[in-house]
Amino acid sequence: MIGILAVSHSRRLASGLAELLTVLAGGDLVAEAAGGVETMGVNAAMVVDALKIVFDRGADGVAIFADLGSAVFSVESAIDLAGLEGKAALVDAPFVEGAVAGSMVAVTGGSLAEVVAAGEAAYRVKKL
Amino acid sequence: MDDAEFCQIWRNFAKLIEENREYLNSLDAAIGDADHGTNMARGMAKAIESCDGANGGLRETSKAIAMAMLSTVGGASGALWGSGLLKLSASLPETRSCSEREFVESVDAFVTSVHDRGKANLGDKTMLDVFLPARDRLNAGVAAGESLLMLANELVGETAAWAANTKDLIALKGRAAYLGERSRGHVDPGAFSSSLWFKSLNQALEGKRA
Repeated sequence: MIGILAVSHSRRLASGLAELLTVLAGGDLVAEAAGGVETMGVNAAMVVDALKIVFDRGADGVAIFADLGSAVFSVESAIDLAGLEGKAALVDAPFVEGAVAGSMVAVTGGSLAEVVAAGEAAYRVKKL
Repeated sequence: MDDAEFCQIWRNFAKLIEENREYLNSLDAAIGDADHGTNMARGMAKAIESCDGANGGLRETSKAIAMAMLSTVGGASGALWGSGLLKLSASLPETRSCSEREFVESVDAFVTSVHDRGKANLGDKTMLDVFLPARDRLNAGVAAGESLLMLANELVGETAAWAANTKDLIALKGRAAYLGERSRGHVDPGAFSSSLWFKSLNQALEGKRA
């Protein structure tokens, strides 16, 4: 199954999203959080560590959702550093809606490409 | 350029960042989260530790500096400097010295990486408002046979002016972009710290310490 990694400047925001995903998508989902360890912010090393945890929990690939600018750069650097291109992908998606959409596809056995596509498609779903 | 000179660039940079830490924080406070000076100072302090223990050649030393930035500096500057320096490192030879042309090629690789990752262009009020024109000047100068010392000397003033010129720009990248017109009137902290790097390079080439 594809795992999900939520990356935010705020630890509580990332953990809160991972918790929400587990509830919405069901208990089999592998969802972890990264960022905001000691202070607000994200660096590439935090993301590398969290990716390792997701793979250690048995994920075949990881779809990564990030909140804002520098979290995005840090995720891209982390994928480079860990040599995970093709196995982990940053999704261009709204943080909450995209991660929920991706999780639903992941938990029903979708491939990494399908999880990424579902996350990206969340940009087109309006609330009103 | 040998590894002693190369490390001296980073020691000078660490010192200049430390001296300008509060100024950088204050620039960042105007349009960001007031931590650019603190972040960069923490990263550079860690980075020069890797220089102190380094005797494995330019590629290894610069890679250690990159890893220090990636693991200690949060925010866009940590990811952009860190991943850019990984590309710079890959471009440098494993030997303990390199030609001026090779050094300039490694700076070119750094700027290309920052450009690709940050996706900012000239005039977006970012560090690239210093590094893009500086890269072009270095490439053209080295191709014309000018010495790195002369180029670095000239770039001290040029990059300081380019950084100062970001004051009149509207930010188009990062959190400051949400401010739109209200981001005008403040110097971009990333552009200012980047200009300090060229000062550090010049000091190292002149054999002076910061």
